[in-house]
Amino acid sequence: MLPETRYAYAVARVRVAELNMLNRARLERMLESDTVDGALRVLHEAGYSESGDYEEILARETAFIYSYLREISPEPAMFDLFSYRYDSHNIKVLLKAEFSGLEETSMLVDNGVFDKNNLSIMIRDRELGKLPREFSDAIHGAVDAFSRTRDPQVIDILIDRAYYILFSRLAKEAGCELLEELAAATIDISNLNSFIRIKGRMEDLDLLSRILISGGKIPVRRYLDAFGADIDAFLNEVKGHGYNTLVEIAIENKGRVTEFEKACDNFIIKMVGKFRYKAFGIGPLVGYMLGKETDIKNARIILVGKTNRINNDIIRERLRDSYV
Amino acid sequence: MARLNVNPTRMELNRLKKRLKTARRGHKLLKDKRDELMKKFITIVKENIKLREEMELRVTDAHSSFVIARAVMHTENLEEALMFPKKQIGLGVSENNIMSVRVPVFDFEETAENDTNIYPYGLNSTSGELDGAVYNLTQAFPVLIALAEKEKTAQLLAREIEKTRRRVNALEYIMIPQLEETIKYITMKLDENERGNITRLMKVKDMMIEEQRQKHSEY
Amino acid sequence: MFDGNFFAILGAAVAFFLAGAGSAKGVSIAGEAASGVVAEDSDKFVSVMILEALPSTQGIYGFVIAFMIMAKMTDLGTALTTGQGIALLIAGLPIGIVGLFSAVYQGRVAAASIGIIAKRSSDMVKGIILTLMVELFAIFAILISILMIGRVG
Repeated sequence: MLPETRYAYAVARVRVAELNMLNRARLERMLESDTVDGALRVLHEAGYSESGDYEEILARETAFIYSYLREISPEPAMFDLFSYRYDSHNIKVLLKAEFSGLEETSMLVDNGVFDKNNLSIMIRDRELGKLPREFSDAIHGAVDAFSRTRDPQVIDILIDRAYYILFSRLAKEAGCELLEELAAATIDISNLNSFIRIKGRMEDLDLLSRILISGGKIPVRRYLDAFGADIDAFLNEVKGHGYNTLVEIAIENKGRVTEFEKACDNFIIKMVGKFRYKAFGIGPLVGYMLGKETDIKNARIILVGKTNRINNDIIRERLRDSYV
Repeated sequence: MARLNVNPTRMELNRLKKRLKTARRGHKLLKDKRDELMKKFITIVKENIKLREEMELRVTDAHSSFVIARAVMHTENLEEALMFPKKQIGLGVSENNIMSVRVPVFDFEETAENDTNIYPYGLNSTSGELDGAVYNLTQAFPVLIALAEKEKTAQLLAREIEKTRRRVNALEYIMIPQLEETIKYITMKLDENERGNITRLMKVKDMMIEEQRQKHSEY
Repeated sequence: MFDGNFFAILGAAVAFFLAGAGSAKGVSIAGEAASGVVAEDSDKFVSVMILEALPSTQGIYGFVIAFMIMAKMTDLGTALTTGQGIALLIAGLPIGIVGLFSAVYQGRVAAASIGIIAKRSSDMVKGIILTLMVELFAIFAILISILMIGRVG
């Protein structure tokens, strides 16, 4: 961890770049435009590229966030933490492709720490030495579990878990308080989300026990103990861990995922938003990154909505709070 | 109505009369078959409409929840989540016989160890909205299969009804009137011949009587 | 060796070294932020440059005090007593130490204020005022140093 004043340059750049983010007014303009093209024009004004369909535009913008932050940050390696998510995606795709015999190349994504083609070769040859040990362990585990159960879900579960654990280990190693806090919060939120979804649709305690990730502020034990009981009682009980707003929204909406997922995203944005006005440190950069990802998510919600002529109210209900 | 081009002989007449009888019986049978098929068809169409309404409801639900899942998830995450299905579905086809129309019967069986955990993806990189979409689609699937079965049956029945109806009509409006006409024609022709014959005989008889009378007067 | 002249020269050196080092650090922090803004939007160069320059005043104050200590040495004649020397050293300390810290902190405030300009160029004056608040303490320090030099006799 460098002294935080080394981030002065990057923070200043990000501060200017924040001007181009999709604030409420821009999102509202996108919503009000009648056509997809109208909405795309707003994106273009905010510095998004113009060519190709909206999926390409959004993918290009995502790639841009990572290259931009790596370029301006004094510690580009810190963003590997976030990039590993794309590697975890590629690993899942590669494993599933291997087991199902499907063509996978179109589903692989860039932005990972490892080049997708190299990763493909590594997985094929099981040369996992270069991968972080969380990933290599998870790959072996997934291969083994899949051969026993033939259930593709185990692949996702194990690789996702590996990513979260990797994130929290790297955050701890970097000694960055913000990232550690973020890691714990994402794990908790992910667990809460799994809990609510499994409770709502699947009613499968075994699945829950396999999917929960330790390392959050709420111990895994609590979820398992509460599985049989009333969901509201459990939620009220975990309120104290700093997730008040989140839990209240979950209770208010009777565990409906739409509102809860939105609340989760908002929670993370609000959490990194605390660092937005800092003049130094990695905080504003992380905030910018997550904020940009939220922008892209919002843009996608609006664009998909416009393409499928979904009512504006349904779209608006799902729009996340923006960072700026 | 055109009559058949046949020799107006008594043998032909007998043959035609036999054909007419067969045609009449065939007509009656086909008409019964048609009515019965219609009855079956109508019940199937009714079921069909009901299934279609249900299917449309479910598929629309599935579609709209899917669109929303697509909106809130990264495209590549969505594709990854769904690239490898968990459930396997066996579809057997056998035949059923409705009024000698062979219609398909689909038996559809799912192989899933767990009825509630039908989701082929992990929960951390997917949105809960996708659960709804997958659930709705799973619910829609048996309806879709049933609808396909009914639809095909209705189609086959409709084709059979059409065929039968055409046959009935052909018999009723062409074959039977034609036969009747021809029979009438032959009968008339035969009667005509008969009458001609009688006239001729009477004439010959007259001529013979005349001849006899002249012979008598010579003596 | 450790006579009055030695201590007086040490005082001048301390006053300038510390304040100058502080200014350099402060300006560099503000400068990094300023170059970040200019990299995104070169029109803002002038406004961020003013803010970047603000932490350099401590260096100037240090320079003035160092100069005044030297002048005082000339006034007092060739050989200073050890007491006079130590007094001049102590007189150099306020601007040295306060300059060091205030310049670094002012640099941080300047960098943060550059953040304001990054958002809205029109708010430059507000940024400058916020940054100048830190300057106040450097000004007190130089006044104290000057008064202390005046009392050495």
